Amino acid sequence: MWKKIWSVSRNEFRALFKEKTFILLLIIFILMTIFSTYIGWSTKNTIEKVYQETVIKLKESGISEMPLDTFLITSVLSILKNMIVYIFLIGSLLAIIIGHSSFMRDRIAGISKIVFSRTISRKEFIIGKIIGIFNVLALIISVSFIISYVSIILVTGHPFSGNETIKLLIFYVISLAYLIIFAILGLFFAISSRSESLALVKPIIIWIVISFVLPQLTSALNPNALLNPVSIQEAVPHSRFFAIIQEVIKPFSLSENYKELGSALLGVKPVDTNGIQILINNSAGILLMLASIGFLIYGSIFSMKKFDFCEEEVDE
Amino acid sequence: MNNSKSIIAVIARKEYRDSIKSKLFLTLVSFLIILIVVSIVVSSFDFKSQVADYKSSVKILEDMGKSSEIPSMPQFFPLKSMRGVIEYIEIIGAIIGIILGYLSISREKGKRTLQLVLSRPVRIADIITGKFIGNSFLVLLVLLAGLFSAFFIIWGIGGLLLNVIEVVKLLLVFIFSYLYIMFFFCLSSMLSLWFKSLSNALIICFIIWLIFVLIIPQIGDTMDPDNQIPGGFFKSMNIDKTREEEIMAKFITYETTRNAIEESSITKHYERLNFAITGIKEKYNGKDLRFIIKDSWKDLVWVFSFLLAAYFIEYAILSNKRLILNGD
Repeated sequence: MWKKIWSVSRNEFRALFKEKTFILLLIIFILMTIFSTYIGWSTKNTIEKVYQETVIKLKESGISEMPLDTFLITSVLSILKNMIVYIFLIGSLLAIIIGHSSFMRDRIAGISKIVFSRTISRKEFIIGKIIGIFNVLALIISVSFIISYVSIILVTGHPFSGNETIKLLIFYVISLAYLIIFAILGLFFAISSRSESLALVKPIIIWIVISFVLPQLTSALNPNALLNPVSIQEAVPHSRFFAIIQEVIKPFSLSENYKELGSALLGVKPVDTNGIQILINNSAGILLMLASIGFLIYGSIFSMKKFDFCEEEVDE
Repeated sequence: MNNSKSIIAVIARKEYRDSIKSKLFLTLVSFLIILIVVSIVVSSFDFKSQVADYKSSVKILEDMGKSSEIPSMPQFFPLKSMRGVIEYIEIIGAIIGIILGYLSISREKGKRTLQLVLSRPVRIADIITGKFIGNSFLVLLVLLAGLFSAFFIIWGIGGLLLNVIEVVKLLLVFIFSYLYIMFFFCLSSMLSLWFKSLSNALIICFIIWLIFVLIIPQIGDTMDPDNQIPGGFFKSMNIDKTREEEIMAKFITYETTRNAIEESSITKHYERLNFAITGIKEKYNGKDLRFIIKDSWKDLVWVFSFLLAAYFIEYAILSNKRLILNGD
């Protein structure tokens, strides 16, 4: 069984690797990571200087007690805070495209019609596909991790501590889990939808609900406020109405659990906890992610069993 | 000329009929309308809740005999509750434009009808204009539904009937939203014409959408020094607007770069324009329309230029008949 699954996953990995879109997505991810470090570093430098200028202005006006420079005590990893937003918004959307093209490619080429003339079950086929997608995403995330690690050392000139390395590693593992959810979502709709474009738009609608609508319902933050990792920190209910909604919806909001976990790991808020403790504190969020992955794998296997291999051709 | 007009009308009518039957389009439109309703309902409830909290604080202060310390009551500016709506149009309105543009070309490519039409004495400008007008009707219809929903929710839940000036401002938001969505329509139909694979065209279009709608505004926003602390850096340092401007004048290169990044996105221009019109940007709240337009006309020119550029590039691509005839 595993030999067949391994064969499908290797084939999937190669197919995705050969596609122009994959190269494009990899480039986007690399650029995202480099931008994230550069913007974080440049902004941190500038805000430090703005703080110094502000202190001078306050001293000139006779104020002697200065507010604390909070930027000095934040973790060096906080330079990467934009990565949280890039992964939960951009990475997840790109993961949908990878999942979508993984099965849609076979449907359009007619491979799904002939592949089962071989001794391979539908379950083995789809598990192989999911492992192939996982390998591709793991490769992208590993490249991103290495770029983040090296670029931070380059811009700050300081090596990481062991605790910070572990936190960065955990952040990327959690991000990989988050991306897999969306990739399998894309795969699920590529199997279950009759039309090619609907198969892409349906998971995008779910992505919008998870990324924008649920956070708006729980915190009244408007969609664009979610693009700023600092605004996300403000996402606390400021009225009874939102406090009630937050209590009910937030435990099921994937994006918010991911953002909280990411912010804690990258030290966006100055807290001194180790990576393992952060994982324990956010265990509910991690369970939600794992449950979503399990549920979607089951859904994909189920819809694969129902899939009609005799379909004439995929509708546009 | 009359013949050309009738050709345009025929193409426009066909486009309208085809798209309105599309499940994909209907799904997205229903989703956008739901989001518009949710967004305004949420901000109306939020405001009602704030007023209730204010009243209970006032009662506590009065019971304690501290009537002089009562703060002013929170004011409701109905158009400000449109913020979520504008931001959803930025995101989903653009997707609707992309899907309409994609459908418009994919139907022709799938049935190879474009080759047939081009073999007849039909001008390329007529095809492009016909498609543009047909889809414009659809976009206007969707926006009109959103506009009415916004008007009645503000009235029904917020308890405020918009005055004439506010209705005019709402109509302007409606017109700018139309221009914005039609840019994405032209972009998508242009790419669907250009690429042999429709699936690749759609993916590239979504990547451009990501760059314009999410990445560029995100970079500009996170680079803003004032956005580095929840609630604002200068507010946390008790610095007023004048002194903030004096400090930031020393970082002019940084600010110019940040602004240039934002200006390269049509979404940011659309947002600035609408935030000015609706008074979401405090500087324009309650201001005369002439003052707002005088200050924001450049953003309007940018939005219009983006749309015109996409329209003419699409025209240029379709003019290259060989590309269409060899396409899949």
